[in-house]
Amino acid sequence: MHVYEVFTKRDGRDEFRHVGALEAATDELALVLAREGYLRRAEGDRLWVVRRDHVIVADDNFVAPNADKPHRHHDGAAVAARRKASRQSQQ
Amino acid sequence: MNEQEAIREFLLAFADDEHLMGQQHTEWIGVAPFLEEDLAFSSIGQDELGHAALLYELVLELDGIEPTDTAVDALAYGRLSGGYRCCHLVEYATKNWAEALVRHWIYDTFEEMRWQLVKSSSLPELASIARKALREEAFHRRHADALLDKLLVAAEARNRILEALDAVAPLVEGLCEPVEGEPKAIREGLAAASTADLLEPLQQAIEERFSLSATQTPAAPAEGHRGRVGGAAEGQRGRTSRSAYFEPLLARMREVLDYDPEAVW
Amino acid sequence: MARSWATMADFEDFLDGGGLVEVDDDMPDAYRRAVFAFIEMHANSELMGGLTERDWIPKTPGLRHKMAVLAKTQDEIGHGHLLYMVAADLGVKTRTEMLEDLFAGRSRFHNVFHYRAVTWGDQVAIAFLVDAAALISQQAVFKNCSYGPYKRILRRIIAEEGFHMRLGEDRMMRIAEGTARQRALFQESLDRWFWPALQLFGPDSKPDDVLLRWHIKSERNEVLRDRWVQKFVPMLQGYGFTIPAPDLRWDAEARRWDVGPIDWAPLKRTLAQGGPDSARRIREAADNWERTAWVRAALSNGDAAADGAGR
Repeated sequence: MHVYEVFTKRDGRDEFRHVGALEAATDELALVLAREGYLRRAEGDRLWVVRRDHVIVADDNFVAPNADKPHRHHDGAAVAARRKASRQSQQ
Repeated sequence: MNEQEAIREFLLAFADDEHLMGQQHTEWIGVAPFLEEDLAFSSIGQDELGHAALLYELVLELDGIEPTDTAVDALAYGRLSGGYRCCHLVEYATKNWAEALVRHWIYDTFEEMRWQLVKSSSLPELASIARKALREEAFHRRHADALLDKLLVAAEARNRILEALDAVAPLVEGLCEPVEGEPKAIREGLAAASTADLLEPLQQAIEERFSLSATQTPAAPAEGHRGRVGGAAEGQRGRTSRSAYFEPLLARMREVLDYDPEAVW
Repeated sequence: MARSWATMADFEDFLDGGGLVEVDDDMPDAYRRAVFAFIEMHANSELMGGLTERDWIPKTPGLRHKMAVLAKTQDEIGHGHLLYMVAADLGVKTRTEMLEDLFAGRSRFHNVFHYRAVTWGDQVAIAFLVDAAALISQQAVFKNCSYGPYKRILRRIIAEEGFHMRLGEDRMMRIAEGTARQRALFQESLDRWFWPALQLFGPDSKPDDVLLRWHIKSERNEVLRDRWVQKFVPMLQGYGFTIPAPDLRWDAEARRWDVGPIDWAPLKRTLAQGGPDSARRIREAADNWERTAWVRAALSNGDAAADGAGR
């Protein structure tokens, strides 16, 4: 048996979303079982199943440094304040 | 039997098969071999009951009765046993999950062919139900096949499945057996051909699905399991006869209804 | 491992700040075990609940009615499935171990599912009263649950329980508006199921309950129980049924219903697997599990069950 991760998506809405997991012996069984496990009320129009051991997982420390890049997040409040000041000085 | 009676009987046979097949599947809720399978099998049971309800509604419309849920239930549960037209395969109380799986595969293989026969029916409502049902049937077959693909190549499982096939196979002929009214219904354009014509392709499909050559079996199977079908003594003779399994099944289905015939639940 | 906390105090600060723990986090072992035990019991209860309803499903009066009831019980089994998958990922027990513990009588599940549904009225009482009690508990867990994977599947479970509530209420109303026999049948069911359903919430929470401290539960048992009482006592009375509580009274000052003292002995007995139908229920489930072992063996095809453990 393999663990499969299940992803679904509604057409015209959403990106694919992880909704859960299941156990299945084959890829075909995983698809068949995922439909009734996760989409039986048509919660989505598209279905992906991916074997858990086929998912390539990044190390958290690999991702973490990008949480500290303020120069990529221009502060809306600072820009708004400058815009306001600029308008006032033009008047 | 006039045309209308013939059409009615033809539809009733189809509806009763669907009804009892769905009913049998309800017995497995919560006790399938694993949880994912429980969910899938329950859905298949719901689909079959849904087909039965649509077909009963069609019968009621022919009878000039408004097809309310109460009227559907009166038709589904309210006849004397002689009034039912189901086959013995769907009456049979399976002894184990292997038999339930094999019956599910055989029934749904047959059902897919049967819906094909009526998808261009002269009765537009029947053709429309067929189109809906055929979409669902594809899943039913795929489900059963996905399990059998894996189970038939494991020695112990294969033996259990072939043993189950031996138990169920004598009932296959009865599944294809038409009702008396069928020829007239076909003349009226209800179906493209007789269900009797499905026996040969069905038997061939069974041979292919369960035959030794079709799968790489890792171990020798038990003697005598060859998946041959038809002709056994306990086989059905006519859709007007009920098997010994029918009365207890009907009583089970009617238990709450009989508790208070006036009640609406 | 994603995040780790140097001390339990740091971890608790994180939880108090509304932090969500994820499966890969290096959570304190005591938290891991507590959240696992809670989800495992929830999973067991969903499955055993489905089995309680199972006895009556083939007898459901009506074709479309049967489809609806089948879909409901399918959801309960489905909830069990979702919960077992999430619980297995915590690495405390595999899914198979959890099921085998359950079928060997070594695990706990909700008190109500140790009772047998003996009439169709019981089936409706379960769908109406017991599902409502479960829903109230689950909503309270969902609101503030600190374990991310559990919180996320609770959203789905609660949405589906909403369907069940409406189905249960609809069926109860048909009976309430039905014949004298129907009403008498449901009154008997209410007599049997009122107290077990009320006790599903458990005795008053202890002040030092770690489930509350770690935001696994967000509200105290007695608060949830009272919410159920205030909703269902007037509703059932409104439909002309009698609440089987001799000391029931309306507290006009506090504007609330008081059901009187609660006898907790049945709950304690039940949770020790001594409930009225515990032995049969567990034995049947175990037999069914055993009889289909060959299917699981063939599907595993000799490989060790991956079982969700060890991401």
